[in-house]
Amino acid sequence: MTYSLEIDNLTKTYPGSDFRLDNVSFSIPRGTIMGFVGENGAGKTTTMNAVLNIVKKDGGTIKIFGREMGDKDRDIREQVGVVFDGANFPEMLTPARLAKVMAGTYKQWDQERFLNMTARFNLDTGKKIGRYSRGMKMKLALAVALSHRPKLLILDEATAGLDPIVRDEILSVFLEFIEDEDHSILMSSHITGDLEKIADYITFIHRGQIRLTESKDRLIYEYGIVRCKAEQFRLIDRADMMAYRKRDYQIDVLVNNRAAFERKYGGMVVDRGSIDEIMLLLVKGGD
Amino acid sequence: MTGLVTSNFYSMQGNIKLSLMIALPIALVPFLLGDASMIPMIVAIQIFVFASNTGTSLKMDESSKWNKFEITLPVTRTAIVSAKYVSFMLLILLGLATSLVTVLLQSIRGELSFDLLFSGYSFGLQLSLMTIGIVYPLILKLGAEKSETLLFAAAGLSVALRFLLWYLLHLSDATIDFRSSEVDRVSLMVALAIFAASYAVSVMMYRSKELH
Repeated sequence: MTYSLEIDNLTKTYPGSDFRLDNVSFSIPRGTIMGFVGENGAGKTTTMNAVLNIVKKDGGTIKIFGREMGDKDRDIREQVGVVFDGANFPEMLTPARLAKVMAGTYKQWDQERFLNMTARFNLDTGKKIGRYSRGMKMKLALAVALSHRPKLLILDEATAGLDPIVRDEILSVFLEFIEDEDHSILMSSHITGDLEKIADYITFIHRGQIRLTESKDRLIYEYGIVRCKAEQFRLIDRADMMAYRKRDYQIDVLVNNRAAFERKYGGMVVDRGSIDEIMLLLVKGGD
Repeated sequence: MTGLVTSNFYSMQGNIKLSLMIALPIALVPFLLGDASMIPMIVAIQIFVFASNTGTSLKMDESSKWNKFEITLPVTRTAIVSAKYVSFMLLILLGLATSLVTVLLQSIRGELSFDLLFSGYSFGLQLSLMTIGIVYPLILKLGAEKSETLLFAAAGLSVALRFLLWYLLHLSDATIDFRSSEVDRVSLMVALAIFAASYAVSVMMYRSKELH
């Protein structure tokens, strides 16, 4: 299997802060979408910033298309499209002018594709970006990211704050992008429903540590959440639990093989868990 | 780098228009008053008014987080800083070009003095180069939020440096006064040295800069 992005034992600290990225490791196989999930401040943006060399890592290795990306590796950057939460373009520019800036920056800039994308998203290319709504800014950011024909998209909360219609429109663009087996996406999002729709893998990060990387299908179809009472909980072997969380009248237990669990512990209710529920158990639960 | 310079130019465009609105009318002042002694000050202001846009464009880049996005583009960090300095020089060139209106008007009056013009251009260039040379590394270190304050402080420091250079020259030769061409020449050379050193320092700082 070849990978678009390989992160191995990435560490990062900030002066005067307790936050620490602690040996973060995960990889994105080519042709797949990796959802990157965690609570606010868990380390998603820091991880992405380290991948993009926006912050300097303290340790570990990050390989994009099999190579570590230094400041001079412009050829790698040509192949990476980036969308940050909030678009990050100069607000006094119009998309038409922004395209001129990008055309003077990216060797692979495809003006026709940019115009097609902006037309598809109904963006007025003569209007100043500062006057765009958040949804329009995010669509513009996506149009820019896709117009230099990247192979890897890095999306930091790209669908945050958007209404369901715009989100759906953007998610369909991601799915089109991934139709090319050379393409991959790393996408952080709080909206786990979006990831359930499009991601192939999910990585959970909590307080700077990776708690789990798993295929989405396994999470949904093989993982399960046992809803049990205290006396049932005592019967469960700790080795069979990934995490558990005590609630008012029941204890939720995350298990990684629902069928095997049901065979071993007949009579206990095991539900399919959503990404949200699994994240809550991994973040808030004990293990 | 073309794209980055284009972006910087677009960022400064609104302020360039404003600078033109200030710099062009003041060209009329010595012409209408018939006072050629004002020319050095008018020329210096015309150049500096363009250079003073530096802080505003950097502030806009920071507030839109474009400076963070810029790092993800297929350019080196050195190229990003180089593009900034090229843009600063273009601003100064615009100031120089605008000041030609003053020169033209004075030549119409037939009161063109090379010494006065040299004094004006050297002061304008010294003030602009030194101010930008001081302020850009400070903005990189402290953030563009305080850019206006830093710009005023840097401009003040540039004037103070000119006084210091005059004082040092005066110590070696008592006939040199503040308006002597020696002060103009030495100040301009020091300003160029500061601008070049500022570029080197900024490249070094930007290579290790982290944006969040």
